[in-house]
Order: sequence, then structure tokens, then C-alpha cells
Amino acid sequence: MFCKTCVVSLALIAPLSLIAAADKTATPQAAPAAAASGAQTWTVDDVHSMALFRVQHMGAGMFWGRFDGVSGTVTTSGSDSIAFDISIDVASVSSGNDKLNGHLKSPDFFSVKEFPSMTFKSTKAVRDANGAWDVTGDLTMHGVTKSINAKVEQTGRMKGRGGEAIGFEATFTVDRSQFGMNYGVEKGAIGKDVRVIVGLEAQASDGKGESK
Amino acid sequence: MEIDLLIHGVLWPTVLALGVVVASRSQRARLVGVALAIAFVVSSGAQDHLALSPSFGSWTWIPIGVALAALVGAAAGRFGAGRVGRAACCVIAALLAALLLPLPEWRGDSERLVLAGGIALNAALLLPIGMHRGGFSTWLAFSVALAGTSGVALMTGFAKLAVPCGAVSFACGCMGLFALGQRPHRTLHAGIGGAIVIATCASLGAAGAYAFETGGVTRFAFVLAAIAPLGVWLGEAPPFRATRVASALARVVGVGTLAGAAIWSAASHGAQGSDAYAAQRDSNANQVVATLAR
Repeated sequence: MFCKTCVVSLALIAPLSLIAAADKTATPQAAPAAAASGAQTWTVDDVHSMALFRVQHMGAGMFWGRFDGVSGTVTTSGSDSIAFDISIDVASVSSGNDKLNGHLKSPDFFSVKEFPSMTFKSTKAVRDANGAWDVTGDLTMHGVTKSINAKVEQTGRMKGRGGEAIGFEATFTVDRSQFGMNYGVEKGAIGKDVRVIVGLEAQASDGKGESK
Repeated sequence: MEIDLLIHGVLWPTVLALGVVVASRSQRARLVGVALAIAFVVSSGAQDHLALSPSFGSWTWIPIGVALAALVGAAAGRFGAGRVGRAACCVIAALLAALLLPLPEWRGDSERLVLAGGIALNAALLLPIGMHRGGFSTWLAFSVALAGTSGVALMTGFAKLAVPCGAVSFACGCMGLFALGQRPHRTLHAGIGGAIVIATCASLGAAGAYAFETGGVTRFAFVLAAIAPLGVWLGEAPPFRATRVASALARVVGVGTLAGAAIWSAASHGAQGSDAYAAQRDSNANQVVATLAR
């Protein structure tokens, strides 16, 4: 079993490292942009930010859940450059049913005691003609890191009493089995593809936002 | 879909376990433990595609621990260990099973040493029963005990652990039926290996459910689930041991009481639904915020 894991790991690491190297050379505006002059850092307001997920249940309906504990930073520079460093407290998962919450937190799914947070760090962001971003980044969930693509739209920006705030909505789909979350996949009881929508509101770092 | 779960998680592992017992003939008592461990490991593998999973979750060490304990038990049976040797086997199996277990939030070795001590004691106390009682009622009692562990795991939302415990429970029930067909004594002794594996399954199952639990289930439920197999000793109590029927009934009632109490305790405390883990985390977060605000 360990030998098989090693072979699979080597087979995966080689192409992934090439992809990572290619990303670094092709997109110098991602992380380094934060350090560039004029960069602004926004702190995610965890009261007004959340992540929703949707997965098919028993091959029939769509089941929705949410994470309330979303934190991190967004760094903008100029009009096109943007970088995300987001963390989600997995224990904040909520389905509206306490028993189901317990099951979601167990090793059948998120195993929150073992993997208490999931993170997303962007590595590349390209703005399209409509003003949205195609963001590529590393999602770490359930102890596994994979590169994913997300569509990110800026939903608004406003100056208020608490300082300046900016909003984003990100959508992406992940294959949970690639993150080692296999419960119910083969039996078709719970879908493999999970659609995620993240609503972010972030305060300018010098602003005074609310906090949980 | 539920049928798939039963076939791959319970029936197929049980068929394999029974196959090992049937094929082992003269070595039967020595290999019962290995057979039960095969049921646990195969059922665990069916839950999580263990070999192919990209993340090697720490719960995966539970079936590994059970397998190691079974190997130690089989070795003890092979070399016909004496009383001291049997006790040493219990300790070695317990240390292998517990000390390798990287359960979350068990940062030191103290919890693992307590678990190892619990497994060793559990196994040592089960040994006399496993070696001298092998009738249907004994196997039924073991089956009920592991059904209790499975139930407690299920109450904590850990279905991937509940199914392998349930598979061993079902395999024990089938061993009981197999014992009825044995001549002339209608017995199939669990032996040293069987006793060690049953004690390890119950203890590791309870410890795994406890370590990953987030809903505020009382520790008492996990302790009861771990010691449930020892309820078979009620059949050896003086009032019951005089007659076979009373002894058999007492065995099942003793285990059933402990297993039932474990499930009831888990259900009643877990049903509070207070989401204790999240509450604890919120409490910690509030303390951090208060400290930062100072």
C-alpha cells in the first residue's frame, strides 16, 4: 500500500511541479503584486463573509451547507491585479441540522479535529473582458492540496463610517474524491462534484470593520 | 445503495472471515482472531479505498492496529504461550495497536499509554473466556458487544468506523452459528487471538469514536463501549454458572446491558445537539479576542 502511494505520489509530483514552475514564470502579477507599490490589503470581514457548498444527495436533490468562519486577506493592486489568501474554519460547517453537522465534522467528511481549516492561496489571476477574474490557486482541504480555478466577480465597493469595504463572489467546483473525501461517492449516495460559492466582504486594512 | 454498503462493508468481509475459519481446520482456534481482523480490515478498506486515497487519514491506523494485534494473537496461539506469555502477548498487542495510533488532539503519549493499558487489561480478562467458552451464546455476546461499539461510533457520526465494527459483530454472530455445527461439543473457541482481536476492536473502536467526536457525547459512553465484551463474565457468576442455560443467558444479558448503556448514553448526550465542539471553539476564540482587545 505504501509502495503504491509512493509511486502515485511521484507520478503526481513530477507534472505538478512543472505546472507550478510554469505558473510562476507566466504570472508574475500574482503574489508579487502584493509587494508592488500601490498594493492595498483588505481584511476579510468574517461577519459578512461565508462559503456555501452544494452537493447532490441520493442522486436526487441538491443539498446545501455553509461555512461561517471565513477569514483572510485580499490584496489588490491597480485595476487588474488581485490575490487571495483565504482560510475557512471547517468546524463552522452548518447544515441546519445538528446531527448532520456532527456527521459532516466526522472523518466521513471533513474530519475537523484532524484538519481544522481549509485554505485557498491564489497563484494567478487574469481579468476577462467582463471585468471578472479567472483565479487559479491552491486549495488545501482534508490534508490534500490541489490547484483549482475559480471565477471571481467584484460585487461592489463602498466607503462607509467603518472605512472602505469591497465585496467579491467566487464560484468553483471541486471533485471531493481528489481530496480524499470519498464517503458515499462510489455508492452514488452523495455526489462527487461539489459546487462552492464564496461571498467575501473585506475592509481596507486601516478601516474599522465588525468582527465576530 | 444501502445494499452496496451491506455487501462490501459487512457481508463480503464476513464471508472472507468465515472462509479463513472453515479452511483452517485443525488450526481453527489459532486463526479465529486473524479471521475477525480480516473482516475489520476489508470492511475498513471498502469504506475509504484506503490504498488509493490521496489523504492517509489517521483513522486508517485503527484497522492497522487491529491487524497487528491479530498477528500477535496468532503468534501466541502458534507457540502455545503459557500464562505469562499470554499476558505478554496482550501487552505487546495493546502497545502496537495503541502507540501507533495518531489520533487528533492526542499530542502526548499519556493518552496512548492509557489506551494501551485498557486494551491489554480488556484482552487479558477476555482470554479465559475466549479459551474455554466457545458456544453460540459466547459468540452472540461478542457480537452484541461489538454492535454496541458500532452503535456508539454511529452516534458520533463516524459511519466509516461504525461499519467495520458492525462487520466484526456480524462475523461473530456467524461464528456462533458455525459453532452450532461443530461436533461433538458445538463450540468454536475464540482462542488467544480471537480474545485479543475482540478486545482491540472494541477498545480502538471506542477510542476512535471518542477522538473524532465533536457533539458533546459523554466519555462514559466510550468507556462502556470499550468494556462491553467483559460482560460475558456475568455468565461465570456463581448464581448463573450452575446451569448452562442460565450461564448463556447471563453472558448475553451482561454484554447487552453494557452495550445498551453505551448506546443509550451516547444517544442521550449526543442528542442534546449543542454542538459542543463549535461552542468550545467559539469560547476559545472569544478569549483570544478579549486578550487582543486589552
